[in-house]
Amino acid sequence: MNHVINLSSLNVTLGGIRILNGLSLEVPRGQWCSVVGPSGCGKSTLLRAMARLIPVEAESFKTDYQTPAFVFQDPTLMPWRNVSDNVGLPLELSGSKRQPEESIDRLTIDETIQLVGLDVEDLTKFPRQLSGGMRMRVSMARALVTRPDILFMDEPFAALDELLRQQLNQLIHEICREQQLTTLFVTHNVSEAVYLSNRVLIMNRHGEIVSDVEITLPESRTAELRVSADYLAVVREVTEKLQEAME
Amino acid sequence: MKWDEIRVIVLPLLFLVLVLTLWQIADQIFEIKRIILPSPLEIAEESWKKIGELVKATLVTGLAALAGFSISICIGVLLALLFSVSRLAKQSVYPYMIMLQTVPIVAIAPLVIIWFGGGLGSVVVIVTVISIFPVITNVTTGLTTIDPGLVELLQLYRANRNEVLFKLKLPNAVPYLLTGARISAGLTIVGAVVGEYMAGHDIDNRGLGYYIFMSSQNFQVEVLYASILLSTLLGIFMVGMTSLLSRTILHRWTYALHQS
Repeated sequence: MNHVINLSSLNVTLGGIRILNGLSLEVPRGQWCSVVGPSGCGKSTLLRAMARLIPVEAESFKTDYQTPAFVFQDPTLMPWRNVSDNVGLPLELSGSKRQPEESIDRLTIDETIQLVGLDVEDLTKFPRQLSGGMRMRVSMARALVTRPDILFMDEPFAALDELLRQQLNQLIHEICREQQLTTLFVTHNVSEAVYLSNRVLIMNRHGEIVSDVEITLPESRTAELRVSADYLAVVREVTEKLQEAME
Repeated sequence: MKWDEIRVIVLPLLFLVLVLTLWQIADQIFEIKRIILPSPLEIAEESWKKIGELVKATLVTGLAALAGFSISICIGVLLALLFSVSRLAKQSVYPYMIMLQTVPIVAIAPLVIIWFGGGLGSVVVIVTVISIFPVITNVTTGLTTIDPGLVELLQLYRANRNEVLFKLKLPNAVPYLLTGARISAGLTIVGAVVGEYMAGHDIDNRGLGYYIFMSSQNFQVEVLYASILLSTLLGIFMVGMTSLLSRTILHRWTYALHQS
């Protein structure tokens, strides 16, 4: 199988504290893999390690992606740039320009902004003029504008209300599925993890992966799925494993 | 304009008129000696006689303040950039920068005059010295206090050092620079008046500090009051203009300031 990420015995120590402990993981291309676990267990650190944003020690650490994208818990928009300039930022940076010409098959800013459910008229607005949900949509557009081959998301919907969270879940799931995008998603919300993923990893307080649950629900995720017996059974299974990990 | 907005302007003006009226009446009733407290009308009358000289002095002080202010912004931003890129420079020099802020300007002024001689040059140096520290400290903070998410974002897209500086650090520092500039703007007039008081004695560049010095020596109390009033108005003008500029530029930064 073609793996985008393949790592074994990964350790991460930050500020003298061991955060991740001997972690091994393979992520196949196109998979939506969610990570759940108690607060402070190293979920976000694992995500940053896989995005090569922090230094790591590992027996082997192979990544096979060219255009990563990251959606943070906060929208992390530049307040001095309007929506268009925020979304276009990755296209301006030399890292993006160093991509081979044929891979610069990017969605335009206009298309991307519409893809995430905003209007073209919103492009001239500044972040302060947008609601929390709109800012998160802009953040998602910024991540998608380079047409990434892997998407890292660190609890992006944690600060949003439940209804908006469900709307954005649906939206991002459809986009990622359509683009066959490998997605690594950190969340505290088990229901959200199960709904979105092909696979859920459960971490314990010691920075170890203690369970790896394959989600065998239908590929198409609809609102009806949230009340189906199969879905609720998987949510219960993951919740029980998470509770065990927290003990 | 709403009534609440009008009140903000009208009430202080009414209060000023009330104080001036009471002052004038008290002066006539109690016959206060002119050398101790001249009446507002006497101040106005004497000032009018010297209006040409006072306006020129205000312009000289204003120009010295503006020149020193501009120099402090340029040097302050450059030093802050150095501190933001070099930990060695920041750790070894920055503590002294903070310490120097506490040295009274009247203690430094004689040294500046010894080094640079009397006249406008020394006044500009004194203004620079007094107004540079808020710029350095604020811009250094702005260049180093950055949303970690944005730093990671640029790291993810392999931004080079110039891109990090021009697309993230410098724009992030603008609100901090403007805050520093607002503080500095108020200090510039203090620096200019102190400088002129001690060094601004050359015949072509007599500023308000010189008039304050001379009028107090010659008991020209009306001119002294007028000079104090003009230097206060000049300070208000400097702060007002910087605040207006800040508000115009920071309009789009509001979200960031609310977030922090």
